[in-house]
Amino acid sequence: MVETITSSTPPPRESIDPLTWLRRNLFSPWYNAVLTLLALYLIFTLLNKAVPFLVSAQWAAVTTNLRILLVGQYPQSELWRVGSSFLYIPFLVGIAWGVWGAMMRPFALILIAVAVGTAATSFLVVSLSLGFQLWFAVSPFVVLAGYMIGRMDFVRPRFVLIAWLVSLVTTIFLLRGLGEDSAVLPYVPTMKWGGLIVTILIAQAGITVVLPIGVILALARQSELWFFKAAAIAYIEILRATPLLCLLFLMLILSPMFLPDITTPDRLLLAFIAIVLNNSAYMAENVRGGLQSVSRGQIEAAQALGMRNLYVTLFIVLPQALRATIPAIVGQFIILFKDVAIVALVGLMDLLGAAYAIILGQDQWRTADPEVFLFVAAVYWVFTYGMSSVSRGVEHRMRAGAD
Amino acid sequence: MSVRPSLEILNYHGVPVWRNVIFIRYAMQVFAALAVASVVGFLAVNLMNNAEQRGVNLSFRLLQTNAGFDVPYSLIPYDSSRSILYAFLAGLSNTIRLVVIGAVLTTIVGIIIGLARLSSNWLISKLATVYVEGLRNIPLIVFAFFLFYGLLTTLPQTKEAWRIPGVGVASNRGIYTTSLDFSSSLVPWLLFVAAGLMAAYMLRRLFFRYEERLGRLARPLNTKYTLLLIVTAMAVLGWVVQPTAPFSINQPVLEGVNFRGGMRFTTEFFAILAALTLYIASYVAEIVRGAVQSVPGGQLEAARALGMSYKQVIWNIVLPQAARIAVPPMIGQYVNLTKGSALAIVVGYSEVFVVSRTAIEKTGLALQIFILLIVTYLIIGVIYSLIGNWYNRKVLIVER
Repeated sequence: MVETITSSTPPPRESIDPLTWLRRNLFSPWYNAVLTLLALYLIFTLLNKAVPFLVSAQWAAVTTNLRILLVGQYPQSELWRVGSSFLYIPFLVGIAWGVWGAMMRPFALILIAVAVGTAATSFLVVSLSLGFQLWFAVSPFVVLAGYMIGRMDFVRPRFVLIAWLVSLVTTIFLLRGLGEDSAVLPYVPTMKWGGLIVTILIAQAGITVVLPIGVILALARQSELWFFKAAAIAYIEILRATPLLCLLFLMLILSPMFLPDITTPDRLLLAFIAIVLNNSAYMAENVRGGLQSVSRGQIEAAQALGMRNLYVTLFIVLPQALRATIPAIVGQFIILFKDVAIVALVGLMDLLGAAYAIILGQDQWRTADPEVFLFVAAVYWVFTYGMSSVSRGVEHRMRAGAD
Repeated sequence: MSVRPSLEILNYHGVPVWRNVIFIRYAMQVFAALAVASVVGFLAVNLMNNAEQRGVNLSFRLLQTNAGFDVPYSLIPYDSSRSILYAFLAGLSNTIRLVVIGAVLTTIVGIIIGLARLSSNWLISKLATVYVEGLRNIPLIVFAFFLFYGLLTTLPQTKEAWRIPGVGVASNRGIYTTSLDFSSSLVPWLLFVAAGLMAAYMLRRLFFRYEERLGRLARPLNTKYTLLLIVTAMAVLGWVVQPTAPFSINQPVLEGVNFRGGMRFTTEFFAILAALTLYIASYVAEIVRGAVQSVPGGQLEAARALGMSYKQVIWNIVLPQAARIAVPPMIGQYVNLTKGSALAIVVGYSEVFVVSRTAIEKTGLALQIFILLIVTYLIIGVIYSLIGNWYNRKVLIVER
């Protein structure tokens, strides 16, 4: 007879006192003790250098220039446009948190914490104008409002995607304005845009267009039609081999040669196109990996059921392929976000470009480069860490779904 | 068999031509080809018009004219009377120097940090985690800016140079490391060493055959120490019988306001090398960690149960399987290293992209130089993917 265990006591929980923990984790064989001492020495030397620096640092270089770092040279009188349109970021994060739940929670909480922190410190020390203070004070509530809406039953994931697209288009429209002599929305050239908002806009627009282009390229590369295949391979391989920086210079230097004489292309737009060209080639390779993972039998079964080739691709292959590559796709989005910083090297005013301009342009901050670059690094770190925590959440969820 | 497929297509089993799959496929391709051709044609016509209007010469022959600009540092001898093409090659040699040294250092640092993350020592593994998570989440260019400014402004005067005894010195005049000076007797000495190695190898085979006949181990005759002794003896012999030493150790010494001797690296080179190495090492560390963790723990236990020593488990069980996982993404990181070297434009290390940029500024041959540059990058990319494919074929698991 087979005995079935109906109730089993869980293995006893080990209770470890701090000393045992120390011995086991830091000093157990003799060489670990040596390593621990080395690590402690390293930490001590680093802190010995870092703490005095952090205390005596000229943080005023960041705080007095916070406006430039956030919005660049955008005209003071028109800042309400930036403020009102960029409230979509907390709203989007909030609604995504409401719809997808735990997956988006870290990102939302990080955003709230940063906003509250900035608002609090700006009321105390930072000389930000009232509008900025209000923005940071209001945005946590916008996140929460978005969360409430996201929790409602009728709100579907696709609403978030639509909101994402609509907000992107309206933001760009609002920031550009109508015409030179418009009373309500005077035109603001992109050369005056700057700081964090440019970084966010390029990244968001890039993320929006890179995935569809990547999917089309990947499908073309897998195609049986030789022209599509050859064109896709040429595009992907050339753009993957060229550094983004080289492509950026190429676009800016050669575009006057290749375009009709009358047109003067927008530098920001050219930089954006370079980033999209480069990242879409990588995205195509990521998606191709997913396409190859869909088993041949699925396609044959669909064809046997009489589905058209287009429908087989749209409803059988792509959903499975994209699902399998979500981690790689999010990883590529993170890379794209980090890639935006390179536009600073061609004189554009993204976050890094604005930082560079502060150090080079204002004599009093010439020696404040570590502070300003640390600030830029911190901003990037918060965003990227938020994105990768979302990515981990997606992977976790997919693993849970697969079981 | 139909002799006239083209006619067959037009009326295939009575299917009208616009619903004929074969026709649709051709039509789609022709349509796409026309679209691409019209875009390319548009750009080409503009190019011709603009070139004519501004008097720009688009001939590639111009790349053979005098460069007339300086390349601050070059592995191959260069002066400004050489051709533009030669200046480009000088830049390329600098890129290769950066990438080779960078690849070795990145691999070493990455493996150390990756293994540190796996360490049973809590503090070490947390330190490695902070390093990896800290660097991976900021852009390379931001890190590079931070490092360049930090490094280039804090490097001390030559009098107070940072010194690591026996390794090198660092000051704002450059980084000097201890190097080896080779003399003319190096080649004969290397022949001696090679002979020693050969002898050791032959002896080892002889020993094995002897042991087989004997039926037991021939200790203490057949150990690695015996073989080491032979090689060392040959090396010493080769050193003593020659009038000059094959190489000597050359240490940098302070003379006046600057250092002399040793191997010199410019601060620019050092800055870009440090930025690329430290940053990409954080990616390599993750690859190493993932690869080692991908080897199932049961295999290690099984190997231990079979009586393999700890060393044998590492070398014969973990390493081959981890390498199979790690090498393809590692090649990807070497590609990133190569492409990242273009960031040398920030510090001005005369790498191929920086030289091209200078050449475009000085000579105005933008189109030719960009095409040359892209072809060069493509060739480098092909070389990397050939290496990757070769490795993949080599380690492919042969299934039934």
